[in-house]
Amino acid sequence: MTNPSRREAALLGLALLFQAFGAAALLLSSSVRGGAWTVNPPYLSAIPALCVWGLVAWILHRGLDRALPNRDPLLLPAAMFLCGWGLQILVRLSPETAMRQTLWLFLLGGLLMVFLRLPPDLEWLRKYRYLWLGSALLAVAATLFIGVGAGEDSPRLWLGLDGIFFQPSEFLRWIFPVFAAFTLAPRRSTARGPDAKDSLPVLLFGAAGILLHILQQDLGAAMLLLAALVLALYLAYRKTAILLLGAAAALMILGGGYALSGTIRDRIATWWNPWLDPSNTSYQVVQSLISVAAGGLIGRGPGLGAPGLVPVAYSDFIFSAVCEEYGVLGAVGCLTIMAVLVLRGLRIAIRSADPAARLIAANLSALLGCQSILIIGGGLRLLPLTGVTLPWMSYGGSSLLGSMIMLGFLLMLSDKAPAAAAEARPDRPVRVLSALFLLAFAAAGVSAGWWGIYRSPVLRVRTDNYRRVLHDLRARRGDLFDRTGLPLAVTAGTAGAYTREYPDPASAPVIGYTTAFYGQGGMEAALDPWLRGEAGRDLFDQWWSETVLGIPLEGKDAWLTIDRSIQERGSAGMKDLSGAVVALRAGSGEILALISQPTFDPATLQTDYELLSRNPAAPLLNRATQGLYGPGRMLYPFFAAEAIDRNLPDAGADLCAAPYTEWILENPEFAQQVLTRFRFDQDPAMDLPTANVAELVFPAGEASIRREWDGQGRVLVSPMQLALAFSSIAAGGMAPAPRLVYRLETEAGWVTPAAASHPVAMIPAVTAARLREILAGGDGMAEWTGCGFYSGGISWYAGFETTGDDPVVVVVALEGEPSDAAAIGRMILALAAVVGK
Amino acid sequence: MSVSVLMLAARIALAACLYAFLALVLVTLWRDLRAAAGVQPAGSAHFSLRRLREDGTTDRDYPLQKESCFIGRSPSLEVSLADETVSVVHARLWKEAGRWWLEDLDSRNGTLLNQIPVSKKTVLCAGDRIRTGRILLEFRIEDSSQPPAKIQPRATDTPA
Repeated sequence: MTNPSRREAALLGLALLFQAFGAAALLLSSSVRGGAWTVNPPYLSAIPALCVWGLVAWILHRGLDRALPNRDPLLLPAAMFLCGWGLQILVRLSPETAMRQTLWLFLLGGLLMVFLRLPPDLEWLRKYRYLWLGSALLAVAATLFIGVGAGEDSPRLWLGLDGIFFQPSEFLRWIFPVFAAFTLAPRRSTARGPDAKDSLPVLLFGAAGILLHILQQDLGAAMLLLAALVLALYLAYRKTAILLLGAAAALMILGGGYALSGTIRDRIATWWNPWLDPSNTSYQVVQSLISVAAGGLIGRGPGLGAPGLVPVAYSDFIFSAVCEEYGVLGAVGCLTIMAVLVLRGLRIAIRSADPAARLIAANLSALLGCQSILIIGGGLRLLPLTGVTLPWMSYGGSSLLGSMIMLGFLLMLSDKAPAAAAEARPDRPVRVLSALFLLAFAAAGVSAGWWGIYRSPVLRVRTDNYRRVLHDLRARRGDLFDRTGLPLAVTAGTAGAYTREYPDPASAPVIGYTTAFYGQGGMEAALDPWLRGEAGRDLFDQWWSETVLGIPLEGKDAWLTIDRSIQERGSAGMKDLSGAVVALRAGSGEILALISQPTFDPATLQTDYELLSRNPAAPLLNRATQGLYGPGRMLYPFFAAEAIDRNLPDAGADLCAAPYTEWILENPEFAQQVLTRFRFDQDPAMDLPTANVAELVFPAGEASIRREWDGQGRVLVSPMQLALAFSSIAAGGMAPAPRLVYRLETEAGWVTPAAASHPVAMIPAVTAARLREILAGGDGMAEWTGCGFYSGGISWYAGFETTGDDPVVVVVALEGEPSDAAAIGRMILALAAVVGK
Repeated sequence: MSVSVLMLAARIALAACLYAFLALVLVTLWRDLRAAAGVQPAGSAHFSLRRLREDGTTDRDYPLQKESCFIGRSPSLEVSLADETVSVVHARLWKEAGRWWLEDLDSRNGTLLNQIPVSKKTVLCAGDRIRTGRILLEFRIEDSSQPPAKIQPRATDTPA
């Protein structure tokens, strides 16, 4: 048989190893982050923390061997394991806090030794129990008048004395169960258990304490004290109804709080649906869930996550930090240790021959469980958030004091309990509690898995996951080049401080932006997996590098089809006019230029976003693909095409509105057929966001039709749609699939990815040839314009090459005063015609 | 690269420590549960009831030599207690599935097991206190060869 003391020593040894490897990992983490051998100096405080932890563990173990040789050998190692783990995380989050906690551990470890030397019959507590409880209540009441809060508006829960702060509710939390136990435990061994009237002082003082906590607006402490009261009565009277009544009382307090207190209403509302207001009231919960999601199954590793992004991670949300850096595997281990601590405490209660000892052991361990579940559940959205600390792990001297005293009681009582195992005895309340806590800890584990694994992919890509920003500082994002190799968007700087630069402002509508807070747009969004280096790598490789080794993926470069010089010249030609230009190859669909004015500077978008999004000129709108304008006269060639196809008389004559109006009046579906055939009623699928009018209906009635010819009717098209329709005329009847990606760099060399859509046959090749003849203007060019009054204030130009198998098509749309769209269009056509030739 | 590999090694060691700790904890729990489930030393065990005086000192021992023993005032019983608060046949103790069980036989003053009234048949563990009327008895398991530490009776002299 194993000696319990040696078992305890073995467990403490393993815990010490865990601490040591944790400190080593933390010290290594700065080198992993930086890529070179360095140590982040604050992390060095892991070493004194480790030493003090080891010293306290050793002293307690040796001291217990003398004081309580028959104690439960699991209690001290489990508690010390959690305490050390908490210290490890504190060192990582806030070294200064960790040093203070280390000091607390040292002092309170000594205090525990003193506590264990007190007479084990607890007579000093039993005799003066009213005095103890009364002073605890007074201390809590005192916080209402001379209390100190953590901030201006936060509840004032602390009593301050010369820089040392103490939270009396922690004291009340463990003295109350002791008081209740001595009051309710029958002093003489009678059969019936405690008298009903024994419960009166317990109820009275319990209610007073709860009321005080409610006045303090400390929902968590109120709930825990209520739990202590209900547990005391349930354990003493062994009636299940008491538990149900207690649950009802908890709901009543919550309901009352919901009706009366804004804070509690927010807490409950954000628990019910945190996604409604993630940047304000539910910020903490959402950030906590994102932190859990960032950890995944195996975690980021000590020092490699960003748990500090969750507010008060060192206290309320320390469990999220466990999830993020140690993963769901670590979290489940942590929960198991907590469950063992609670269940062993309850086991001591079952084994205790003394009824008061049974009540104290059961109540204190159940409270420990309640408090852990309350705050862990709050961070995992199992329960509404209550600001209680996580026993053993959270920062806080008062909290550690409470935990230490609970441990002291359990150790003392475990030593007194008969050594014979007595699990078979009928103690229904303790059994029910054990089952409930087992369930609750299992639920917390499942919940950690749910957010950390199942929901992780969704949460990680949220725009309020600021880890992405931190990641982008470390990971080189791939560069974007134009078709000639000129830079459009490049990553500058060194690892850890990468920035994104955009040398060509005219290309902003194509390039888009990549920002932390406003997400991404344009090709930065469309090519994001590529630029991040995720696309084209196998998942295992990616997981191994990023998650296991912590090395960020190297981004990959991409070349776009646009030509920077055309972008710049076109933009200069438009001066400060608003409008759009599209130049594409009718055969291959390659977009050579795509200009939209006014536009934005992607480099400063992060700061200017609010201003830009409110600007009535809509600089964030890509007018070439999303701008919708009345086409007016620009539709004539397409009506002519339909007429030629149908062999209508005079179909091939000069393009003018009069015959079209007649045809439409004769045959109403004629116009609709044109819109459908040239895909004006559909989104052109491409890498950039596009727009179309949801229900494009060509009106009936002569007056309405005339308004359409003036470009002031219901039909609206984007320059991109028009350019694709003209492409079908230029390229023998087929409209190409528009493409913006010229080539991508892979390990096997350069590849050209498939376009987002397929080419569309719009008209027969003969019809296209006929229209080219009609529109031809000489020099191998054809063009068609619509401007001024006739197009509703939009100056349109469309031009294309009539020769070659991959002719260039240019469409220009300028807003406002009649302007020379044709001059800009011709210039761009001339520039584009020589690209790549 | 080498830093990353070192880090990975540290993390694996970290996880190994955590789960080794848990495994050791679970082994301890399992042993305790087995001990509690009454895996009692079979051949060499010696079961008895010890009658205690009010001050906790031993009055006399009643060895339980049969598989089924009765407690009561009747002198013919295995555990015969001459006291008016004890019914003639008060309670029964018997061995079943390797464990000792206690049952109250509708006695007038009831039977308490560790201060809890016995209403149905209940498993006994070493050190359990049985009260019949005003007589206090302790259930004892003694193993002359080498008793396991976990179920070794202890603190028999502390008063209730």
